[in-house]
Amino acid sequence: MTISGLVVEDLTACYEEREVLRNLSLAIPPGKISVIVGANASGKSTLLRAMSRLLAPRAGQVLLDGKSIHHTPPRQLAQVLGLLPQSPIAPEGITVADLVSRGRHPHQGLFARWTREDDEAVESALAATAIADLAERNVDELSGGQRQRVWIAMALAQKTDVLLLDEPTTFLDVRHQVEVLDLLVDLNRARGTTIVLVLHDLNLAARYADFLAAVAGGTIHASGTPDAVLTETTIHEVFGVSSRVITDPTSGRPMMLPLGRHRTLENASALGPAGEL
Amino acid sequence: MSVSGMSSFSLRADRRSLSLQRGWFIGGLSALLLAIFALTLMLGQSFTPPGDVLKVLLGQDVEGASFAVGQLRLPRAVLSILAGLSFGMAGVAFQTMLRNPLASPDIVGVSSGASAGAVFAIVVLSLKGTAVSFFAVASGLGVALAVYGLSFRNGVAGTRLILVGIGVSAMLESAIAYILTQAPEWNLQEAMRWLTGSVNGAQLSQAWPLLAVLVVCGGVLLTTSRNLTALRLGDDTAGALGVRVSVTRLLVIVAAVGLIATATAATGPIAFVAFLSGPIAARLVGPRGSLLVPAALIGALLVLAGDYVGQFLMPMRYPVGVVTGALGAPYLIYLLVRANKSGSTL
Amino acid sequence: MSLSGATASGSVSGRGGRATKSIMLGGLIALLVVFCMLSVSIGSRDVSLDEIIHGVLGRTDSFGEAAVAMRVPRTLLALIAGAALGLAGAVMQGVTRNPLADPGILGVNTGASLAVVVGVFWFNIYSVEAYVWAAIAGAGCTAAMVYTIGSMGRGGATPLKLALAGAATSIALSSLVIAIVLPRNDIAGGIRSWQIGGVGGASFDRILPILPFILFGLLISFASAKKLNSLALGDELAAGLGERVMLARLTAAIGAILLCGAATAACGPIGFVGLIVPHLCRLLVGVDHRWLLPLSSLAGAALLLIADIAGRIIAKPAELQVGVVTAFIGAPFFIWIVRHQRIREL
Repeated sequence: MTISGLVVEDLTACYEEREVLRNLSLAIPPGKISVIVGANASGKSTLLRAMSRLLAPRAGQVLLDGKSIHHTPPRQLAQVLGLLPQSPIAPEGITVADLVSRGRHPHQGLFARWTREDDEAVESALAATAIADLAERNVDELSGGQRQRVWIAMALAQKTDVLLLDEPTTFLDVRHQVEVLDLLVDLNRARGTTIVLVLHDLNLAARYADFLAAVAGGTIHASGTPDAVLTETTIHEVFGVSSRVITDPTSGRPMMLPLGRHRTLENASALGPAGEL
Repeated sequence: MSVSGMSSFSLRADRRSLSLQRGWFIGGLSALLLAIFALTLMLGQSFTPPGDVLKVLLGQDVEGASFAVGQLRLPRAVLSILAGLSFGMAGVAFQTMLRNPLASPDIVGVSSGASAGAVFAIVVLSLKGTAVSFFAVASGLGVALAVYGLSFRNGVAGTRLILVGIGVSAMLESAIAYILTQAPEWNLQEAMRWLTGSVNGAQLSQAWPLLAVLVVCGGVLLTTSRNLTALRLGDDTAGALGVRVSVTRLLVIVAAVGLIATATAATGPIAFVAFLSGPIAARLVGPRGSLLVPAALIGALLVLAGDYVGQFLMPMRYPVGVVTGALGAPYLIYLLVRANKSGSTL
Repeated sequence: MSLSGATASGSVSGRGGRATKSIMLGGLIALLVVFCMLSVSIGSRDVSLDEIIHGVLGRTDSFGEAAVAMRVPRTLLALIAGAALGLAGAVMQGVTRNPLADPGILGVNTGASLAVVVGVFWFNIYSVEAYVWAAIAGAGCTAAMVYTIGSMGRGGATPLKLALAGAATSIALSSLVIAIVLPRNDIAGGIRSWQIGGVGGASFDRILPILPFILFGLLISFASAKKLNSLALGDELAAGLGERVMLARLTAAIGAILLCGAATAACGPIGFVGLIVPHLCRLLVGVDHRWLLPLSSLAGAALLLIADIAGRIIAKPAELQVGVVTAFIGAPFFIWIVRHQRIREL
């Protein structure tokens, strides 16, 4: 498996006539889990879409292994770069097995011949997401958490080196959020897949990311390890909220505690780094 | 329990049984089509024994049958089948591409465009024959491109395309109705053809251009069928799977419009065939796999059977368009009944 | 709490104070008077001022005066039908929270025509009162049917699904109309009455019977103005504000149906008036239905009058049906709305 470096160079991108990103540059570390965070409408999704070629940039380019993704034929690109968009549509009456099999689309030529390799990819995807027993069920009947796993399985079946996910946990409950993120870690460890995801929950992002990038003002405000990025100053600049950053005792990663006007103890600012008074 | 072992077995078996099922359906539909074709050739105002029918088809001259079979029934049946195949395939292509079973070409303006062109050519320019067909195809394509262009804003959203099509269709329909009222020596048959579709007075010579377009455009649609099926997952997911969404859309539109416009030029806008074939095929064949061929066959069945019913099984002779159009109403009611039960889309 | 600032369908909120709005109302009334005068003066026969005055007063001594006398009921019908359609459109858009709702697009007009046709040809009704009852029944059933079909599946009754359901229903019902009319009418006459609406050939005994229905419809609609303001916020919010949502919707819908049914019974199906007029009025007075509804009725009357006058001028010495003119003005306008408003996907 080649080391896939995804690099964004000087990107200027628009969303519905509005310029959202300007001269943005970002190097995604290969083989790691990277998380993009930012306030609403900061351009996180736009960035992800531009990285997956769904959005044509007004200026700048996105390079995968040194080659511009805009000059790569889409089918070829889809064999190495996969995307799970924010609100995917499941056609009526489609079964889990069928939907996951769609992930093999870029690997199959005009006369869709199903090879052993295709079957194996689908099976291992079903196994990795632990939904093999749901294979015959209709996707519509599944719960939100299960459905999300089906979509991830489809992306897995694509067997790409890079996987982009746009807010995969937004509508899930706590248990399924953690499940999905753990699944991504498994995937990263087992296959070395470079994973880039957009999350809106800062603490989950800090916990699961190897590399964190904060988008603000149309460009990357800060990037690096979660410890480096998640500081009170940065949080204030990117999200406009005061906070205390402590070390999460369960994961050793930084954790941010937002400070509102109410319900804050008098000595909140006196908290130590481990959250102790 | 060996999970991967079991699912591998079921995956491959599942696929095999699906292919078999499809094969049966397509075979069955084709056989049915052939049977009804034979029926229409044999049984009309008079009964012609199969032997005689065969002789006429082979070019021999049989007294009492050559005219009835060769000049009346054969062209009618052939044209019905070709038109039905075209309408059915084009209809399901549009519905799949726009992800909405209600978004069929006869609702979003393509059929109206072709009819308007034809009616204009006949009434205002007093043209006949092939010239009319060219006009119909040209205006059908023109309207489709205009609708496409008008709905273009940072790419074409399916929603906008459909809505613009409905608007354009309304305008064209009233134009057609108006032009028809202005045609003094208009006879019933011709007017019906352009208002609602009819195969009365069919000529075999009309079949050739239809066949040619069917092969070419149908071929194009069949080659894009995989990408078309992928579009059902949404533009983003399809794009992520490597589908060139805009290109596929454009190809499908051009090919489907070509089919519809040519068929409409020959028979008028046979109501609802394009609209119904897809959903009926989906009911029979299931949601998996491409619906292009099954829908085409269903379309052919609808037109062939519809015409037969309209000719012989109704209190008076109705053109096929009225029969198929009348089918639309009960279908919509059937949708209502289903709505109460499952509350889902078609 | 004043709701006049509520931005329901994404258009601009109330402009100007009460004074400005009253001036607009007054201006529109003045415009209407001018149009009425134009309407009685223009036609295939040129008339002098004297003849106009005498004709309006009922004297029919000369051909000119007779011509004018014939234009009076026509003008009146255009006024009344236009007001009814404009108001019905505004109410429908309010009830469905859908910027594309219009009796024509939703197929309600076709349903009304079908009911009348069925009544005339199967039940042999011939009094205008009976026509109106039939039309209203048809309009009601069609509206319910279209709304239900359009609400099926994800997202409820989005503008797109409603428009599609309406278009499909319209085609289906229109085929049925043709099926019924075909054997009994000459084509041109049939098309003229049942496919395109017009105010030609109007007479006082055609107009009088529809008046009570129009009046009722007007009253119910105006009375629903406040309710429509609440409904614009969404069902849940409206209920939270103490509104009985289902009842409010039903009453308003009944008002709209009475208006469409009566207008269609008298004129045949005329589309797009109900679509264009509310949008234009919203640009002038904002989304407060207490102003929007009266303005829409006046604007609707003005629009239909001007369309009829245009139809008489363009096609001199013959005339263009009002339904054709409104379609040609309405469709581009519809497309403009679709392009510039953010229509929810699906």
